[in-house]
Amino acid sequence: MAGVSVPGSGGNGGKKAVDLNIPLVPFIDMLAMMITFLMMTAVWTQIGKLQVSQAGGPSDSTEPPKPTLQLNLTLTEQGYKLTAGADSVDIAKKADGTFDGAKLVEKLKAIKKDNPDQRAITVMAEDSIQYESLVLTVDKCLEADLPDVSVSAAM
Amino acid sequence: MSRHLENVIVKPGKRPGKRLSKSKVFGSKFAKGGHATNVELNLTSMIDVFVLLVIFLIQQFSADGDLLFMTDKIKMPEAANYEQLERAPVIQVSADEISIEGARVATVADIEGEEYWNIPALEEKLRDQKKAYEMVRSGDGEGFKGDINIQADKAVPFKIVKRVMYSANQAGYFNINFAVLAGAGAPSDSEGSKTEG
Repeated sequence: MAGVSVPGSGGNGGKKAVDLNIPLVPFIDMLAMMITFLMMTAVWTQIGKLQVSQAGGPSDSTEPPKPTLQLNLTLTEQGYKLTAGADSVDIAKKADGTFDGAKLVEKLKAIKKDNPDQRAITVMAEDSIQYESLVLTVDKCLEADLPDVSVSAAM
Repeated sequence: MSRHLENVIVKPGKRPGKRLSKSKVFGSKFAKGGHATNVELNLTSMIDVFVLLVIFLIQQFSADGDLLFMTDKIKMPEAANYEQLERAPVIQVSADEISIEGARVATVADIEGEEYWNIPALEEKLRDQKKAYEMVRSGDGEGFKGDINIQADKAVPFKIVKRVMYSANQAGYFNINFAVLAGAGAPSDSEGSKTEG
């Protein structure tokens, strides 16, 4: 037990003892129990979601969509193929064989700058493309401020 | 009287001779009550450590940790621009099998050989889930949103994922959420969302 005493007030034949014992043992017990509980329920991995819709599915919004650019992004074995209306641009894979996400964000931001109302993009992929690459691409689209990402199952 | 007894009654055990007890080298071996056995615990520092641990663990605490079943078979990809995961049916896609809410519905080897786009067993399960949801929530006035969480291994090819997505679409689930781990550049706050809905 921890004690607290106020100097000068004891021993004078005073009226009331001012020594106070703080019960530390139950406090330590409570802390130990809290630590045990929190350790058991702790989540060490932070999980999130990337929301996409399926191309062709119903839209959530009740407002009629504003006329914007038809933006399509295709993942192929060679890299990205970005089609904005009539224009098309290829973004080759990096030397290590991974998709060039930085360059994609750059291109998408340039399109977004010209079309500030643009929110939608449709992503397509070849069958052999790994899921990780698809997720990376969706992530990059969100980074480029295109929140309405649709994934098309058909190529 | 008592002093006399103190000299007479001694504890049993080894006792040195008079000369040895005066020895500087061996004398201390037989000294009585040399070291105090009362050790004071530093409670203040211990409580400090406990409090810091509790604060750290409370910061880590998250109630949505059990939304997904984490398994060794599925290594989820990482993303930076994620949103908070919400409760919805979970389709797990590993390199070998496809399961929904932990129950296996198909193996990858089986569906690779099929020409159809949908996975009938998965679609049926999803339809059942949808029916159950609508039955339970019919009185709440909360409509069916069509949300589904896909927890897939990062090495799974898109041809498997697209069939899962197509099956979900056929069963009426149009809002697909790819479950991801918080990756590099992820927002540091636990609320987690950098993107708009």
